[in-house]
Amino acid sequence: MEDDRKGVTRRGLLKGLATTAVASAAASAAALAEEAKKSGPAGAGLAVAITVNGEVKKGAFEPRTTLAEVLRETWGLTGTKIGCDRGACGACTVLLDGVPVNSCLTLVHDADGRSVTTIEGLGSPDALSPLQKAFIEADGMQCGFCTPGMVVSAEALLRKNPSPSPGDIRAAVAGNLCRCGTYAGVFAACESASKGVRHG
Amino acid sequence: MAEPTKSAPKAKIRVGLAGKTVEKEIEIPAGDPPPLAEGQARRVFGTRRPRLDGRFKATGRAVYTHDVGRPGLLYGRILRSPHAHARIVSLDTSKLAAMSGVVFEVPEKKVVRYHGDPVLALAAPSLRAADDALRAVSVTYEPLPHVVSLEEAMREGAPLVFEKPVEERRTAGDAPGGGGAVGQTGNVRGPRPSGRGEKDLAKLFAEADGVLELSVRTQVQTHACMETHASFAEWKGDELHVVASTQGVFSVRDELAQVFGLPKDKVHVSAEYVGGGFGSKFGAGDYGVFAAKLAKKSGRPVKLILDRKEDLLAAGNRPDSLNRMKVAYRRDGTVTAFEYVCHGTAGVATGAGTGSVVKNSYAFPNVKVEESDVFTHLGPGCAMRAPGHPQGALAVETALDEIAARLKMDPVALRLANDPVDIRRAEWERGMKQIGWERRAAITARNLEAEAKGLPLRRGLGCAASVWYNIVSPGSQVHVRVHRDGTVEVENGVQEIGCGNPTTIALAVAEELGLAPEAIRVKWGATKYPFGPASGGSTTTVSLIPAVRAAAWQAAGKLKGFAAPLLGASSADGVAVGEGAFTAGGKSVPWKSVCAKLPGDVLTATGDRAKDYDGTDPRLFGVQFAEVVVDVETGLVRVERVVAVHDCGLPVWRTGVESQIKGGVLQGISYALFEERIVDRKTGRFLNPNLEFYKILGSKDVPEVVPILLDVYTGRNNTHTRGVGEPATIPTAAAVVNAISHAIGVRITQIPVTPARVLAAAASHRKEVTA
Repeated sequence: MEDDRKGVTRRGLLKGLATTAVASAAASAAALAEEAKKSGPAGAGLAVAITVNGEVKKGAFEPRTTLAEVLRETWGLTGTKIGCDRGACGACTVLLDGVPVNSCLTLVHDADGRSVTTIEGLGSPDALSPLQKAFIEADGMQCGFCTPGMVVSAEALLRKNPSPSPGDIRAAVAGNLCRCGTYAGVFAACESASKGVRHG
Repeated sequence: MAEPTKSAPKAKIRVGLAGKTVEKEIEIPAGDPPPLAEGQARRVFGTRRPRLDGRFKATGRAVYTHDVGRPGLLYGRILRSPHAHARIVSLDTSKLAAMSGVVFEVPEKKVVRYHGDPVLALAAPSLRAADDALRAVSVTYEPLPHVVSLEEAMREGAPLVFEKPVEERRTAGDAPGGGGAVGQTGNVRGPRPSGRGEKDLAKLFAEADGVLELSVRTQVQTHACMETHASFAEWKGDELHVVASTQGVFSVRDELAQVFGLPKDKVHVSAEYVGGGFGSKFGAGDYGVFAAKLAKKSGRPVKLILDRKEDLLAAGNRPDSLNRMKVAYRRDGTVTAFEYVCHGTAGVATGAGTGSVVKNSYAFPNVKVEESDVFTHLGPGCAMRAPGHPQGALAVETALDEIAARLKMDPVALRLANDPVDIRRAEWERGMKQIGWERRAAITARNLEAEAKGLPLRRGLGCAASVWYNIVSPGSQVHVRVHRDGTVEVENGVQEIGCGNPTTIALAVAEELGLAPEAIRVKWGATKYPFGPASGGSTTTVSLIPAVRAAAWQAAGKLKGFAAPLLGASSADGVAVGEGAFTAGGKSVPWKSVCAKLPGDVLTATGDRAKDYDGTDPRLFGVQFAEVVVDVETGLVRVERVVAVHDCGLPVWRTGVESQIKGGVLQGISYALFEERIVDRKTGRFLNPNLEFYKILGSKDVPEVVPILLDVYTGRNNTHTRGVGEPATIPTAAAVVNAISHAIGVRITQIPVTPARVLAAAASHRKEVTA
């Protein structure tokens, strides 16, 4: 992947930082400059190191860059989709230290030093996870674009709550929109991948 | 290839509802295999099973247009008008020159006509650089008067959207018919008259036992495909390679070839996985043309993805509608005359007519329709899952329910009095049974009791019918290639948008060749393969699968010829194929041993989609029943259950059909209850172009949906295949709204049925009751 960000100057970067939400009131200019120094080549952005699907990935990015963007455009993990880019559809759901988050609302620097699991980390076409198998069996997909986000949200649920109620399942994917209308399959997949659903 | 001059052989086949078929003599086009027959055992065709591309989708490995990457990729963005109507006074791009790697394209445009109208497109080396570049462009607009509401646009003296009459833009997903010369007055294009029976309905209205006059309104619905519209373009020499999020790789190719003046073989379009379309992704799109132009200008590949806001503003929608009806009926419930006048706005586009349902769904003897498009300064409407039909079904089915109420007649009985079609009569019966329609009177009594006691919850049952058409995309062609090692490839260019084409194709081939569906290697989603249909209008499976079967049948025939000597059979006729082997006279040879005898490297069989046969009614029927609970204190509506009974001929892949029906129903509920584009009249701006405030149904709104398929031997193609995508969503809103009206005892005539509308209606009812 070639460096697409040669045009960004350190001065411009720092100026950008000061106006970005990520720059907290406490962050001094000196601290920001110190941060910027870590970023390697001049002007390439701030360095991050994130454990993605068990593998440490490093890069330097502008502060305004989202995790979703980096996963997709820099690290080629395109299973994470962007459907709205503002946290309304859930297509970009990943696990951040095991907790489901919208990666389009997560700045890549907020994931620095943390662990991210994407859909690719849950299984592969030739080594499906039990939940992925259940999604396929229950036909919990049509066009498939929302499916990775659905699977990740459902995975987070089952890790936390292996015997969810039908209401728990609906709540777990309430942030994931599916326009094809595959919800019944999604619910059935969660039920069959769980250790018995609590009814009543 | 079949010789066109040869007269087609006639065959007697059984057609109609499974179990009730009748014999009919039909012309079978030469070269087409004998149609599947009732009672004939089928191994995999028509079964329930997991989708074959599921493992790619469930693991995030399915690659969509959004996901395409290349070294040196540029990211495209479009600058759009913030005004509903304005003159572009100046466009200053001088700052772009200093920005590294930025190229731009300015369309020839002096006036913008809607919030979101493209003004400039550019590409830059990163998403963020592209955003920065957009902000560096400065445009000066001179705002012009605008009009964004249907009624205001129809008034004399309203600001004109177009100075001159406009030609209708039609796409493959539009309803059939229409077109032709239509007058335009002000912003109103029409009326376009149509109908049947008596031209003058006055006498029928005068003689009727009753006359109903009712208006029904629907809102603008947006497609909200999860994958926003997007295109990737790359030039290799003078050849254009495109990956498009499209419902039709071939229609995109044709359009781009035209735009760039290229012969078709120089344009290559692919779309293996597409994240939804619902009618909005047939063409190359302005974004697709921009991507290709920017790629040409920069000499680099360009990916242009619309963001969600742009997608809602400018990438299509289902037009709104105002349907005015006047219906004459007899005491026995039969409709004698139906006058139907509809207006709708597709913004700066056309295609807002809703008159097909009233003409085609029931056997009303005299129908007079007038359809008009009304232009407004809003983003263009386009085809959306059964154009005009959910609107038309809501209008007609609301009127029928109101007539039933006035006659104190059961709503289904009233429909049966107007519906002679045997398939649909069977569907009404089946649906009534499944939903428990016999509870309706008791439910009504309980609602009245609840009202008397001041309790908040009411229950309702409603029904509605669906009608759609057997639309076939001619020219679909399939190659089945059998290799010496036994590998079977099937090639067709069709894209996969969720209907499950890779699965249906594999099932049809596996059935003919006696193999497991998983063993069939389906190649799809590119113009390099033989022509396939666009995915719209419920045409995909019906256009494709008979051609798939024809190709596989021919391949099987040739292979049987090679198997015959190995089995000691005198000819291919005595050889059967199944379960991975060829058999004759008690002997068996494995599939691979026969393939090893191929004289060449590969055996290729070509299947063409034959002309439709003249078997049964070319309409597709369905009925849906909805059960709802309404809280008249909060106005909230909960849909508890929908029973959807449909005819889709012989389903090829039952799981896929059922999934599509469930999805169509959910879209219909979403349309009935939640979705609404909100436009500020003063500024002409679309206020909720996002997924937080443009509400679509989510996980907590999902009812139980029961799909029921009536298998029908259509006698229209060799697999009796039909589509189901459109029919599944046509009657849902109508069934839900009729159920709500039943629950609260007030006729609802406008969607979406928001809590505010429920409260207003319920309040008016209480007034009537207490008066």
